[in-house]
Amino acid sequence: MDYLARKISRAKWDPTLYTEMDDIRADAITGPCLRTYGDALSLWRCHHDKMDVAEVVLALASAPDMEKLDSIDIVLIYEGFLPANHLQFEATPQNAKTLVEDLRARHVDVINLTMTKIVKLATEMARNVRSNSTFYRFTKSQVRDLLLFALKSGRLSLNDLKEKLQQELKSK
Amino acid sequence: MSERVFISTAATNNIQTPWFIHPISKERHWEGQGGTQRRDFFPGNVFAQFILSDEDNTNSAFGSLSFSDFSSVSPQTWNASEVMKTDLERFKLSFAQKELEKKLFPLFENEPIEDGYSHPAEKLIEDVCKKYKTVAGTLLLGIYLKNIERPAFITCLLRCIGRLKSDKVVPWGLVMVISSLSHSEVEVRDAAIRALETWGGHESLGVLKVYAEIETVSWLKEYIEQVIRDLSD
Repeated sequence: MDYLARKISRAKWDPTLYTEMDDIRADAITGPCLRTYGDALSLWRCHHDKMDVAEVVLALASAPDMEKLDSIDIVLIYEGFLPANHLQFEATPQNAKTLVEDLRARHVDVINLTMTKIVKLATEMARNVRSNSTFYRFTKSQVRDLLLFALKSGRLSLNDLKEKLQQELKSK
Repeated sequence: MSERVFISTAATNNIQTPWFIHPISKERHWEGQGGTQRRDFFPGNVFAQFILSDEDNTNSAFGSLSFSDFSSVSPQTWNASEVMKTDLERFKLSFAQKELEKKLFPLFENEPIEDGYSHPAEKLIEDVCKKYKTVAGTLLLGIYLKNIERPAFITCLLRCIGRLKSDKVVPWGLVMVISSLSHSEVEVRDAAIRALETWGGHESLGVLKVYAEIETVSWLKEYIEQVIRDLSD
């Protein structure tokens, strides 16, 4: 696993009328895409392979506070990029917000972040997103299928999910 | 001076008729008495909204009352009161639109919409749909059109509306989404496609199939094509 995955809102990373060529919209940095807590940013380890990225999507979609099905956007960052740019990260399974136990070990936090470091990370993410090389969108239907499959295989319990999400999963 | 009351029934086959309340006796005097009988327009007992005003219209107030006997009104009176009703409804709609817009702006500014998580504006919009029922679409379309050049606001509005059940947004939701598909901002178009994905059905599928041919942004085009496959299954 030599990549790190982050959930983003893809549309916020496209250039707009007022952005320069490689510029990044402020909303992409100040919104949920790069929201930090304690100067740390949550990421998930995975391979550069859609099947494995789906495991990260499952981890995110099965967060204990997840309320509804939605399409999910993921961008991958090459793990080697972090040390090369003086960005520290550590394995933090205890911080993994997922109900799928076997995915907790994939969780890492990029720590001691500053604005300068966030901009470095954002620049790399924008490059990857715009080149489409390490960007994945899972549609709502695909996210539903991942959750249903996890329920069927016993990796997840329906009762642990939020009521609204349970209803959405039962509705089809 | 008598008070003049314009009545607008709440029924769909409604009619308005002006009548007067005598200041002393408080008896009702119908303006249309002796005119054409239009009983077919009058449900037996309805709950009506009215404007109460003095004759020169300087003091007016909204209120409601129920009554059970509409016996006669002339076509001329009916036509005049229809104009009055339209003005009243336009005024009420405009007021409600401004109020809703005032509430939506801070909600969208304070909390970004995040995939998989409810947003407080969703509940507000849902309540508006329940409260205003048939005019909710006009209300929300009005807000949408007024803010068409504010892509961040439009995106949030579409994301919230797109999360409502399709039967609550028919047909205005689809109109809003189709209009958004030609917006210059990718974010707005993305929100519109997400709404179609959530609503599903053959109408959404039809719109997506047409739009897939037009979209030029590759990742959005791929998304549309995947949603078409998902909805076709």
